[in-house]
Amino acid sequence: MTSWTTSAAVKAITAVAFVGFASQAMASDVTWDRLLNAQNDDANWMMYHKDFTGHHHSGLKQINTRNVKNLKLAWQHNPSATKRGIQGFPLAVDGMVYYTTTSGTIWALDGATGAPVWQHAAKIDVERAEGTFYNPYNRGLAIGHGNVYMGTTDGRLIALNAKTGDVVWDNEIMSVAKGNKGFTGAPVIVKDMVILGANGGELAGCCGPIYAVDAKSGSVAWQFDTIGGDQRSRDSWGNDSWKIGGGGGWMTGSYDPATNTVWWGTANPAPDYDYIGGDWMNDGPRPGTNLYSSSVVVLDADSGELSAYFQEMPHDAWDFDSAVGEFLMIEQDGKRNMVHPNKGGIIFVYDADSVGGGNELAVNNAYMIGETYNYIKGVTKEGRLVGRRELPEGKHSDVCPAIDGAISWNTGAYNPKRNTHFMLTQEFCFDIEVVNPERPDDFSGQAYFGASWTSKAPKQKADGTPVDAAYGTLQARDPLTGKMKWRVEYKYPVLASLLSTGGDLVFVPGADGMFDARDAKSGKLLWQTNMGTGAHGGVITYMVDGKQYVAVVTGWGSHVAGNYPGLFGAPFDTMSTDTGTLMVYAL
Amino acid sequence: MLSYVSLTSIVRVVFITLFALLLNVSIAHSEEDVTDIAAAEINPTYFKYKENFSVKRLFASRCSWCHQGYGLKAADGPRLSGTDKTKEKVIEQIAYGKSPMPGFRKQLKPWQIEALADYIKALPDVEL
Ligand code: HEC
Repeated sequence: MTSWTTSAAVKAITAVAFVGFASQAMASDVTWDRLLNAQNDDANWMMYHKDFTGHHHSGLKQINTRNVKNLKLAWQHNPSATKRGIQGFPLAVDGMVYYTTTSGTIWALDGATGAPVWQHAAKIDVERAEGTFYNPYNRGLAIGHGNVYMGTTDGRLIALNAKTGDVVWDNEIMSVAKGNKGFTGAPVIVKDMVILGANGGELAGCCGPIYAVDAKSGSVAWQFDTIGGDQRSRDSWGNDSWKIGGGGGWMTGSYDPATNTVWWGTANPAPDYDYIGGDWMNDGPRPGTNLYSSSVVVLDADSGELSAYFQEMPHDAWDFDSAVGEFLMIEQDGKRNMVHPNKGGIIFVYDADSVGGGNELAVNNAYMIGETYNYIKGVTKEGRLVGRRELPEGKHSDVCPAIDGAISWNTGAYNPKRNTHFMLTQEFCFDIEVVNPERPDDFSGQAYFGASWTSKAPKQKADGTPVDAAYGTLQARDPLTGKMKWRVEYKYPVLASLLSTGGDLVFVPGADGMFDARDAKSGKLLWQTNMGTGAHGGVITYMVDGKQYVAVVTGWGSHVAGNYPGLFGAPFDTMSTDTGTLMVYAL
Repeated sequence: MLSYVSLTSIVRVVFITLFALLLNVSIAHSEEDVTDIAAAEINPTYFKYKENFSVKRLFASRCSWCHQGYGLKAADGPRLSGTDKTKEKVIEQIAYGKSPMPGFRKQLKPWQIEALADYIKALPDVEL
């Protein structure tokens, strides 16, 4: 006991000394009340989507259109090896910055200086984590109730003391018994629960669970199975194919306090392509519409019961899931709209109040923002796909967009003063051969695709305009009507998220490593810096001691990024896929 | 790994014969898809495990997400045609993976892994 006491005393002294270096940075507690009102707190970025409006907009305007030309690097933090780059959103709370790197390492830094305060490297069951292709991704954290929360690629949720980094609890949440494996998305706190969803679209795993975990104890409060959880879902998967159907809710959704509902997007069904083609209601590997895959599900926050849903891709035949985590709450003319982008390049505008009873959400509008698509002819204002291009067994040329979609999981941003939604699209296609894949064992969690393909440049836009290279767009639109305000073309589609600020700026971390600040009104490029490598993660802004900072993560290498050397050659053919840095800019 | 190696030596003779055949075929049908040619060479070796076995179908359902063009094009995973790994090393890679590539030893049977390795080694050193 003596020696234990001694070492404990030493530890305490060290901890105090360490905190001493961290200047004023001491997080006061992030209560539920603070999270609920986060849209009024622009000095802090306390959750993945900043606040429950989902706007990725901060009112901070110290950095603005007039002075952004003076923006320069304030500090940077180089974590150790970060395979496939950094993909998470940093959080900034009361002078501290928290962020995650690959394989579940959390860094807590002084927000003004970048000085390390604590670090925690989760020990990952590598074999289990690497049983999926979604490793070693980690997309971020939740903070609240005195803790920082992170999901892991081996199915755990970890709570750490936000001040010290000490483990409060570390619980296995997801059982592998049904073929599910892990978490890559950032959790989000709703009241006294931590919500997060499983990865897994094209895995022969089941039920794509979304969990609510008690923030204090770490025990599961409720679980919603995105597939096979209710009779309506089971009936929509012939031959019990829900048992191998994928459908994970792998990105971070949102919460609507007015209806006390959690809004979440779900992944595609497995196998991702369907060799049966047009007769999918009756035949093939997963006959039926396959609820609630490639859908938005709205859940009662207290019980986890289905309050409403909308399947954006009925019987998804293209791997265009709805897992995009962005839900923008936009109130206009007394109407509350929930805006949700889908990977197929469609923006759905839901009536946020059409919930309760487990019925289909009412759709106020739906419109295409992808430009080179041909997998459908279009979408009706009611959100129904028109002119589906099925992909039966065999070869199909120039299918657009490719599996990577027109919209990926990275977020856009919305400037409420201008009523402008900034969105990114990626415009490339593929040649694909669809096969009849062997059905893996039920609940096995095995890879279950149905095609081989090769990415390529589009030949034309949906309106017939010829195109000769892959490209990306940054579009500024009225989110409800879809009316375009301005549009900028990017040679390399941007895979990082966007940030909108009260300084009338939109920040764009580029695939080639160029970080742009543009005028929110016109799209004009006002500032640019080279970050040294491509970005495909988050970007935030925050304030410490009256000074505004912009923090962005860099690092390259992912499924979508993997197409770039083939599509563009340099600079991607030599771009590192195992580095990444947190870059922080200020005036 | 021993079992794989012994299996290899058994079918080696068959290979050499098939390889000679393949050369003729590829000269005769220079327009033909090289992945079809490689698969046609490999598939019959495994009919004893599964009637009408198709290595390309297996590849499409397990590997294609990261290895495009049936192994002829680099993407999330590297191009597999022309790999400088030996067959044994290819088998090891498929069985044990290397992050972010998952290991397939618990998902695939040893003969399926070997078939994939044979197919990869049978691909000519070309790129799509
Ligand atoms: C999640 C993506 C992914 C999947 C699925 C995948 N691979 Fe890979 N594969 C990779 C990556 C990435 C590498 C490179 C790993 C490294 O060396 O860092 C690789 C490397 C390889 C190599 C070594 C190539 C060389 O020359 O070094 C072989 C062989 C291979 N994969 C075969 C397969 C086969 C066969 C399958 C299906 C059973 C498969 N892979 C499935 C991503 C994947």
